[in-house]
Amino acid sequence: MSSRERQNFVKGLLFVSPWLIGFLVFTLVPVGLSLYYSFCDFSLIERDTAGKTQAIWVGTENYRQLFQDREFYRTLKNTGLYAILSLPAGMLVSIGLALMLNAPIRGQAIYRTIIFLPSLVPVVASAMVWMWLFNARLGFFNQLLATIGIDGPAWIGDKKWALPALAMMSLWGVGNTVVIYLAGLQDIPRDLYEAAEIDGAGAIRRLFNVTLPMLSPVIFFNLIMALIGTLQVFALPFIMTGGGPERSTYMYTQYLYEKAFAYLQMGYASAMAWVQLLIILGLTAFAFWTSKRWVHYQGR
Amino acid sequence: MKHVSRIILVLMLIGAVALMALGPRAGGKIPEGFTVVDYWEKWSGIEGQQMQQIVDWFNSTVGKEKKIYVRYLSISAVDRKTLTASAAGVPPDIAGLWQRDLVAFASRNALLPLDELAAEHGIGQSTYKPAFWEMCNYKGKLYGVVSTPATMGLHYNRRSVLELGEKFQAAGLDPTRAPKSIAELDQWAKLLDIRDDRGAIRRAGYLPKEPGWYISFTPFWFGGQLWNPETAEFHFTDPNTIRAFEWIQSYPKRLGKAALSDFSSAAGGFGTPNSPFIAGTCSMVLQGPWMGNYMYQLRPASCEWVVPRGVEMFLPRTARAFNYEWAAEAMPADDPTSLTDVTFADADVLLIPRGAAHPKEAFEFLAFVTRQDVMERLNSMHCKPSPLAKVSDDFIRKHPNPYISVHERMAFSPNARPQIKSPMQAEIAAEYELAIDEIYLLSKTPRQSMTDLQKRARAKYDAHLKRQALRQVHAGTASESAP
Repeated sequence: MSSRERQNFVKGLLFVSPWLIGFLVFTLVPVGLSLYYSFCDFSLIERDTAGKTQAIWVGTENYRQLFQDREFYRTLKNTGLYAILSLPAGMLVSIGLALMLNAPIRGQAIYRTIIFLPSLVPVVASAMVWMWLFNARLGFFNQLLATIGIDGPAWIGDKKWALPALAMMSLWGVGNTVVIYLAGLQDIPRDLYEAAEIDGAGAIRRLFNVTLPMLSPVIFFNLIMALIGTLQVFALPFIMTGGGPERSTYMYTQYLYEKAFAYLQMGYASAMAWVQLLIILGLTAFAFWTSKRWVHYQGR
Repeated sequence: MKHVSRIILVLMLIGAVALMALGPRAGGKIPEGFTVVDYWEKWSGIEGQQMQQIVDWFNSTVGKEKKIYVRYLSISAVDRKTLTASAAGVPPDIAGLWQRDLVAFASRNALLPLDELAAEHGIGQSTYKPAFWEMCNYKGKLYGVVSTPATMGLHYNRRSVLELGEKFQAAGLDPTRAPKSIAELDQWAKLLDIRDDRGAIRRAGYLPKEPGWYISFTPFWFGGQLWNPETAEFHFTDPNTIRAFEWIQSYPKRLGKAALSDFSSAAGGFGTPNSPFIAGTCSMVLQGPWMGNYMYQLRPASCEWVVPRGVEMFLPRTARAFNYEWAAEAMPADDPTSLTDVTFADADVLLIPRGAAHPKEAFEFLAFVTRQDVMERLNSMHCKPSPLAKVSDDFIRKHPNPYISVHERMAFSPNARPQIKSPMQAEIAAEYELAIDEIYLLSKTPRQSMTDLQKRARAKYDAHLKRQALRQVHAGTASESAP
């Protein structure tokens, strides 16, 4: 490395140092510590007689307890069900909306803005609005159902309907994904459609044989992001149902949070976080493995 | 163009320098040479302003004399923030938390015992009403002082009851006084219920889950005990506890689960004019003394039934209650002959976290708040009773809550029962909440639900004991290996 290159390297490091220091101090070190704490009994505030905080090494005890914990399986099941409901629904709706918004129609920009706007609304505000929409007596959905003679359920007040209701609500924030799909759609070469048309392909055929294969890298990206997001879902159920009724919407991350900050079992919560990371990593790896069969990259 | 950019840059720099030199300063009011005591408190809004008045009073009197300046900071989620600040080793000097936090923090050695400091200031067992002294102590040590206490009683809509006077009398009930037993309360509830043609509840007499904040303490009114601190045993399967939950389940059974869900979904949240008791759609609720303030703020007409409030203050204490459309009395017990003035007693407490920079100075403020005149002013503003054993006549006479003597009586009662004093309180409370959900939503019988809860609570407590044993082994090893 020449002296100029070294100088440039040092300057570069100096420029990225705020981020680098922030990453080390606020991300890497806590991640490392949480791995250590997952093998400890650590309550954040527990102090010894000298007044120092204590993290006591307990080996794999937290993990052993975790796999015997009924709530661990309940929250895992709830989170899994939520992902199964919201993930495909979210993808279908966002692809559908992106396809519609990609059509050359008058007022296209307005429609795109309307679809994107809800994703800008703060989660607490949208949760409040949806709580009213789901209201058993005065809510929009039940009023709508009443017009066709159906007595609607209590939605988030009913343990059978609460989880599907939350999954339904998750569609509210598809605006971000729609924008990414739109970008992907506009990247598909026109000549592929022209060639398909010349070969006699209709709209449906073009969708399945041109659009979706060409969009598959974007679908794959959104699938991974949605997978991570849904398996970490926290804010909506926490605000709207608090995990109820009868813990039917009690999610993994809420349990983790409560273990750490309400029940003061930071070691146990750290173990939960690492198990969650492993589950997400496993599912992501599985998605990558299957992607060889259905994701098509241009130029390959 | 280049010049314009430079001018903008220079102007921005001048602005930044001016802001640094002349801008607002944190703690600009702090007099020189004073010890600053940081006080974090949960209250915001009017309650926060009222506590600020007490802080100002301290700063201008005792603080001025002893060169202590209390800096009041109102913050949300104060328990979580105190927790993280304590973990980081930079806790506030005073934390204004809930009574339930006292045991959670004290059992983890995260609070400073205050016995010596309290003794120096003449604060002891005789200073407080027994229930409140009890809740400031954990395992024989004093860990906090009460700032504002509360006792929960039955609040009922006098107007609705008196309007149905004839029906009440026909049923052998006296509409001019509160129900005397649970059975009588049920009769009241049935008479006060109004349902439409579809069976929807238009007005409920009583609903255990309205607002339901204290539903888990219902066994107290049935002679049940939830937890025995001496034997470290839970008593969720105690026959009295099960009976209490059978009573609770009788409401969804009688009124219908769907009707209850429908009613609560249309009800406004607490502290809004549409909340059922304030709006008059639920005639009886188990609530705390703050209802005096809420009723006056959200439905002033209900506090001026006969004469304006300004005039009422000149009436004798006993006559004041007639000016109110609502009344408060101790929640009746299942067996009123053996259980009187049963209440769930709760409190906001002032604690000094271990690691606080100025514990002695912090306690000066705690001692100031415990002074009778200060305590009475604070609790009069917050519309609550006093936790102190001595109460002045003026406090009762001028108190904004016309039923303060009822709360004072309940606070002094031997049947004033506090929260479960267990280091596991938060976790057990969450399990308990699930059990109550199962009972109220008719998923399980009270016996099934309570038996399951007993098992879960025991398992959790055993896991806690195991962790504690590990800690003790570790502490023993550490002390053995110490030089």
